[in-house]
Amino acid sequence: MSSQVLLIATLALAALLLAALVLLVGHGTWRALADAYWRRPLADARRALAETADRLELSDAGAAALGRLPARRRIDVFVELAHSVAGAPQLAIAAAARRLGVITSAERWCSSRRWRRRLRGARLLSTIGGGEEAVPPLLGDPRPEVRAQAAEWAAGHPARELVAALTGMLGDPRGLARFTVMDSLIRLGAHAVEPLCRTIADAAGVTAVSALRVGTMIGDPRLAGPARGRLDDADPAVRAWAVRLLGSVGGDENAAAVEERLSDPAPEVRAAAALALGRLGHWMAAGRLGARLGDPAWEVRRNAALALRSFGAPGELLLNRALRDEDPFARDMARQTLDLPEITLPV
Amino acid sequence: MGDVAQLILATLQWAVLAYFLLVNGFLALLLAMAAVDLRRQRMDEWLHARWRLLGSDVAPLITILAPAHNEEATVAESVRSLLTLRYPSLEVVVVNDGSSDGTLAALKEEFDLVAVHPAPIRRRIETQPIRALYRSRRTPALVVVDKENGGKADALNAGLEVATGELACAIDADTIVEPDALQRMIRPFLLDDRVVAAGGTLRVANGTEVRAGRVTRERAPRRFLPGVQAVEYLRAFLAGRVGWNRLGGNLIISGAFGLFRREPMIAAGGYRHDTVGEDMELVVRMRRRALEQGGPDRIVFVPDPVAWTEVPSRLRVLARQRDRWHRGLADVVERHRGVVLNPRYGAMGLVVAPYFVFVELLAPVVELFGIAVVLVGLPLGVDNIPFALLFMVVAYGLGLLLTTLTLALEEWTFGGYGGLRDRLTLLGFGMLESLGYRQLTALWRVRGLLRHWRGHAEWGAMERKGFRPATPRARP
Repeated sequence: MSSQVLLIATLALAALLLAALVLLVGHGTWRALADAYWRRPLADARRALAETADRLELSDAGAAALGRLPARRRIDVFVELAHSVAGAPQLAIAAAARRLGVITSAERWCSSRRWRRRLRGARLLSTIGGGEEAVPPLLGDPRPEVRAQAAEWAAGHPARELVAALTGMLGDPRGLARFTVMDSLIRLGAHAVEPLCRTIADAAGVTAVSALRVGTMIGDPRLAGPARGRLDDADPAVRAWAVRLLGSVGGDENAAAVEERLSDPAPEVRAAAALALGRLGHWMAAGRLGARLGDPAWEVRRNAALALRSFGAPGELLLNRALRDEDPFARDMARQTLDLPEITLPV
Repeated sequence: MGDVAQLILATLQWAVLAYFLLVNGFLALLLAMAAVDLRRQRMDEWLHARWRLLGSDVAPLITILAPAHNEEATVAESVRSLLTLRYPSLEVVVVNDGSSDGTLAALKEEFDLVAVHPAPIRRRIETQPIRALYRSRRTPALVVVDKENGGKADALNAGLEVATGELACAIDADTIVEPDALQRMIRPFLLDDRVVAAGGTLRVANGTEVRAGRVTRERAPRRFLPGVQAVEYLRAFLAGRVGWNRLGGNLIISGAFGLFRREPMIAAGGYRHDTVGEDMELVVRMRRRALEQGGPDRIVFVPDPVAWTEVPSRLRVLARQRDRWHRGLADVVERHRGVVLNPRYGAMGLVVAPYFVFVELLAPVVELFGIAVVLVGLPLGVDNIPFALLFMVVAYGLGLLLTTLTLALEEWTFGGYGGLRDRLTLLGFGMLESLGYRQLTALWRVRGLLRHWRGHAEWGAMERKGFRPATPRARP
């Protein structure tokens, strides 16, 4: 019985091994041959596209060189160059891509039932250009990857309704889409301020926090009003980010509002306020910051001490006084901060 | 010899054979899962412009934790290489773990370090005392911690406390990280808030060309020992860990390169000092804690090759390493035995943990036992030559098949390790693996198991020939 089983097992194993070897060697050989075969046409196509970027027009010979490539390799050639150009050369590349059907294919992919194909379409259009009709609907795609890609595309298209759609996605339940939306809004900068003001004023929870984060990065003074309106929000995370936003905008009114938050019931808000005052160099708040050296929360004590130290002489005076404070925690933090040869305010 | 004894011996032989069939069957399932995952991952990668992340103002801050012990000759180059990783929001915390050579002096000189008081660090994990904290005048992203010697786990814990990043990346001082590794590794964290840790594929650097802390030419090792380990690494990472993504998640993130959410790491208490399997132990503890108390619990494996590591090229060193890895595994299994077959822990309790006990931990014992039983059975007439050959075919032939399929998968997906010639070289090593090497590693692992029972907990020295001086190695 053993002999029969052995024979069958050995034959089966040998067949499987042979198949695996064919897969390994066959694919390697095929790839090497394909690379060798396409090396010259690829070089011609790259040269043709580089000339297009240079002369801002695709010649017939260039179109023929690009047309000789299979679709995937042609797309790769377009993407390679599109990453590296901007302005008129980028528009010329996009026009060439449209002429050769690359953009039309990508736009068709955007309406595919298969989400990976939609994703590819949006990626290609984000890189090469085009897709003004095809990509915006993808902002509401069920897949977060596709939504994120559409948001990335929207960063280069500052149309009012697109920016509004992006701010509406700031509360996206999936991190990737939320992150990309925030990133795109920051890239849009001034174009995003108006809808952001509305979102900051009206939104709650994650949406409000994301909007405030974006606002903090943009630092536009128009955002300060809605942010001040959120300083009494029930959610401490919203209050803390509102404080950070005001800290990034600056100005007397905002600094005074931030200073008030030093007595917020939530430690994360007090810590954010102390840091924002340090960043603003608002030395008039030194007295209140000195009082925070005895705060029950470690982050608040640290940020208050670092802010004081960043003020220079007025702050150091208060830190030196705190060395004789009755509160051992205040004394300790003051000593540690004064011992620093130099300070860096944490981000 | 009595009939009963012969019957027992024969039954044992068939039981061992069945065990090998089951194990190889499960490994084939893992490989199939990995193939599906890899194919999808490759499809998702096409046209993906990772570079856009580089210009982001909201990219999560990643802190790289790099423990260094007596690395004077290479530490400056390693740190320079880390500082030039392509990621927009990066902090590098180098922990000088009580070096007795000029490691700290080299860092001070190269990066113009200035001492800052260590006190504004919030201490939440007990570590050996921190002597001083330094920041660089030249490179604001660099922080150097100088502390009393306490071992790798202690150094990583100290780094964790100093770190300010939302994510922490633990690496060995001698790991060569691919420049865009962090761009690849961050993606699962952005995609899913439940992800708490991610690992990536490590490759064997022996045989490659390394310049200025970067692999400049990928090549399969040409010598037997590194070559056969390169095959093992490919199997472990490409087939094993990728496959687990779809079968209940991983339990191991290599100590040589892993990305974690920092807060859950600290909340779990950081790395344990009293185990030689501290990387696996931390992952199991974090996952277990999340399942018991809530919080992010997903451990994912990114198949992209993200880092290179040097493997032992001498038998003595390799023996110590495998002994230590198996002691680490046994220790983790013992500490977390309550997870095994416990439905409370879902797939981790019912699939992953039992696999690590019955396959990873016990396979070398069963393998050596099986060889012994066949060798005893042959002269006693319990089994015959065909049976012995059948045993070899099942035990080793299936292993070779899995190795070949893994190499084919590598060829179809990443095409790393140079060209086809390199993969055929690796196939050659895979064929030779069963002729002595595999039995030796089984022996070392069984020795590790026995030493664990006797209470040995030391790391043992690690010697390397290549581009960096010695530190203890982490398991792949």
